[in-house]
Amino acid sequence: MRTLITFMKTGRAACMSHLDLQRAMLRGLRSAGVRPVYSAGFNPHPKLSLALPLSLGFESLCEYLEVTTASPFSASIEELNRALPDGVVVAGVGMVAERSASVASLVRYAEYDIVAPNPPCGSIAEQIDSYLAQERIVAEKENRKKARTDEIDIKPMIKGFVSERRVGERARYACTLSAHAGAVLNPLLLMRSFYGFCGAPAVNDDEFIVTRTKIILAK
Amino acid sequence: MNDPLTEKDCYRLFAEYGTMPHIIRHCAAVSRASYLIASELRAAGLGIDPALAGRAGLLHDMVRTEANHAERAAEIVARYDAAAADIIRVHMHYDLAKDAASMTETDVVALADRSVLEDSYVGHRKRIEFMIQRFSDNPGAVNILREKLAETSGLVASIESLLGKPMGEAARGDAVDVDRLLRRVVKPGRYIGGEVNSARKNLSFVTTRVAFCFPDLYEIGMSYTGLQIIYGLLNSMEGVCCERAFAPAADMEALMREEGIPLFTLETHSPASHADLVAFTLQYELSYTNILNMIDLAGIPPLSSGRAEGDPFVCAGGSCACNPEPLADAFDFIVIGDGEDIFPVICGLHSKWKNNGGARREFLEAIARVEGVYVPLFYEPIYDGSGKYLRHDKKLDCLPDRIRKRSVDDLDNAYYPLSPIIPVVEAVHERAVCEISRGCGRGCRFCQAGHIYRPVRKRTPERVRGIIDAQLTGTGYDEVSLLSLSVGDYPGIEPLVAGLMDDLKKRDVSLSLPSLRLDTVSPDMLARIASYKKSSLTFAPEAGTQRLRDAIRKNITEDDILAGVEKAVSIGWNRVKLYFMIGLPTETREDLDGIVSLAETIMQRARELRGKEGRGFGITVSVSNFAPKPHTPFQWARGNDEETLKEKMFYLKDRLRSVKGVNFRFHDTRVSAVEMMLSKGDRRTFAAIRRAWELGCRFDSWREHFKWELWARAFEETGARIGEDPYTDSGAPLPWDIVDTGLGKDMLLREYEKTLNFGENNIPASAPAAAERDDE
Repeated sequence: MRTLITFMKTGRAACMSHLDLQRAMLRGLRSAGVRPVYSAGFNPHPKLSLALPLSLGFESLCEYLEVTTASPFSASIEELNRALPDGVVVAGVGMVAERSASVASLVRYAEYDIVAPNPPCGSIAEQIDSYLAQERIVAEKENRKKARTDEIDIKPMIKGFVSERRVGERARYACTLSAHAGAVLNPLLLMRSFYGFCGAPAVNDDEFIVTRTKIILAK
Repeated sequence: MNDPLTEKDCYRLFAEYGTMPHIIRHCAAVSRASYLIASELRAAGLGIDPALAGRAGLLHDMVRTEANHAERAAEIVARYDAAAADIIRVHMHYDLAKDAASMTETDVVALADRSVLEDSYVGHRKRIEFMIQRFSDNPGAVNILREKLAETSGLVASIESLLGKPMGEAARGDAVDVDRLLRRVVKPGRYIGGEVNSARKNLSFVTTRVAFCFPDLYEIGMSYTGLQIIYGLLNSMEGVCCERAFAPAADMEALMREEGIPLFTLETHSPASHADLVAFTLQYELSYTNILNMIDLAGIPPLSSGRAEGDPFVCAGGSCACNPEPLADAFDFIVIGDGEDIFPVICGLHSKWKNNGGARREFLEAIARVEGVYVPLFYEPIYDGSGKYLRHDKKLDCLPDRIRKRSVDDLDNAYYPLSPIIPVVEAVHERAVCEISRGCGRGCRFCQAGHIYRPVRKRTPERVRGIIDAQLTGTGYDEVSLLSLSVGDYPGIEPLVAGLMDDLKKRDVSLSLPSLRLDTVSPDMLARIASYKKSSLTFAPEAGTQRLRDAIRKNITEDDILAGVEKAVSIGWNRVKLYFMIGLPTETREDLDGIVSLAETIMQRARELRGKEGRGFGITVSVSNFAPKPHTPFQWARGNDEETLKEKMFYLKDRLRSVKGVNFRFHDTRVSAVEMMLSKGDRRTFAAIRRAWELGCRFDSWREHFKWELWARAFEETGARIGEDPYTDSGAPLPWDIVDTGLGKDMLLREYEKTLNFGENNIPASAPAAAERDDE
């Protein structure tokens, strides 16, 4: 039996890594009396999957966790929340139809809200328009395996990119980016590329405050 | 006059009157904000009682679902706490003071109530705007709310100018702003707190705040069972709260120093120096520089003698406290022995002392009389003209001459945590842990734990099962570990393990048995373990020849080892770990060769047993350096110097290279040389430790951080030399004699002499362990 859990990861919980979160989820479920099914094999692991990894430091209002159990899912939202660290808050629990595709395979896009310092001068909206009007949008992507930086065209991966408003020394952006397997665009890559395009002063990654606001699934 | 209500009393009232959970959460948030705001005002000179504000805040909405809830709640509370009742009665319709200077506790609670939305502090403006939106179709209500907003804003402005900071910061209490650092460090999860089962105590009811400081990284400290015991114990006490602080990693430390952020606790993110007791655990000598670093990061004066009224008391406990001298100057008091009995006594004395408003010295004098507490300021070490240690002189006649170790008699009735904190960052060990026994009766002469934790005490199997069951439910862990100095010596270990394994398998939980001496395990039990999880198997022969094993009283024979390996191989294990020590008293070249030949014999036997498959089998030979430890028979021994150890390591490495299937691992000889200096140190050693810290030594137990040159320089500059040892004369007094572990010094000396004269007096090899178990 499969169950889909919707949860938020907010506040200081943004400092938990993907692996930390997986472990916390497994324990939270077990502690609330839910026993995930374990895979067969030499090194059995619980059938538990997060729809889309969230970068360390990002908050999220909308995360999905799919868990497979042998018996019907019995824990209430309150029981789960008691067994999870501060900031990881379950909002909903729902059954998944048998034979339907896994939630991870259904992910198409993710929406982000970004607050960033040192915005480019002038009208941000106009600069976004001309940024998006480029034939190719080049971004530098770190290739850790080969220890080098690759230039890639991210244009096909940007579904939406707008500036919400300017607040003093900071600006707020919203974007909808491709997030399906093989074509996941990290919003920081977009921001770095955009700042480079505008000639705005460089900003360290840690100065962007990123919140994932939605994961869009295929119908 | 009744005693003020405790937190538990308040929650009992909630239960009695059926207060809804979300209302309780709101009340707790108002209580917290009231307490923090009142504390700030009090610090600014107003005669306001933060605890009263906190109590009234907690109960103000206890019957919110009833008509006239304020009046009704006041009626109930008035039976116990008239002052809190008066505040509660008027909290709904109250005209706030115009300026901060004329505020009372009532103003504080009313202000806090107007600043908390549901269960979080959002500030009065957001809170009242929220209400205005909600009642937007009711112009009359909106008008009143607007008036309230103006009234509250006026008071807040006055408070802000009095305190010199924004209201939001005042209501945050003393928390430091770590959030802006977290994005800039590796593994920020180490610093966030908020774990499942971590404590959330209402400070309005707390008199004694303890910061439990572990002098290493979060992931190391969170694996330490002693922390979970003391933490859970203190937080189960009324009026006491215990928070945690860990050593920040180098990147975090640099940022904290740059941004002026002091050492903080994970529970409240407030400065560790705001605790009443700042308590360190002494687990290994190589963490000593981290302790000095944490005291410095906390902004607390480094020396006990330099602390003044208002400074916290800095204290320590743990196994290394059995030689309290090297860090004695840094600590106001040191607890010797088991902490379960003594910490509640100390906290009780502290609360009493604090409520009476006593002077710092009065508290120290009070606890110095408690068995197991050492106040170094009251004991002065005396040396002769040549610098030779003579004795400790006590400064107060009423104090004991020596500090008697504290020991818990009955483990079954001792506190043990059933809901340990679950780390948010992967720790070294993440599992439910049950300590099945404390102490070890074997009496291996080099072993400090085996001597200072006597007598052997055990938890009954029933209690062990109860603890494990509760911990698994409270944590969701999928692994259980049994903790003991020697698991196999637990009487009835086999039925216990057999029963546990059956239960645990049903829950998808695995069992791990560290410190399992293979010679104590029956083939049946080994087969059970094997069916479960093939982790590595370990033997600790400690020495290479039977002569030396007998001389150090390690009661294990080559036959035991080979029989154990045979068992392991026949069940299908393909790797065995062997632990040895070099530099033991009376060691010769033959003993080193013995390590090599033992490895050869094991490999050969394994090949014979496994036939053609023999190739896949391997052993790990792990060699550490013997360091003599206080309160053991070898306390008078001189450890090998660094050069000698290194030469021996290279010799072994060379010789083991030719043995196929052996993986050789050794400990850093330089680290051991420093460890020896610290473990047998006296009060003067502090100068070297402090100098090493000043020079930049931190995390010395981590190979990549250990700095040999700086340590050598630190000792040199403070008049000592690594490798020298003034305490090898068995007739002379020892500085750690100030601690009485209950073991006679003459007994230790007899044991030492048995080693030195071994062979000459024909002492029977391998005296049966049981016969001498109770020889203290």
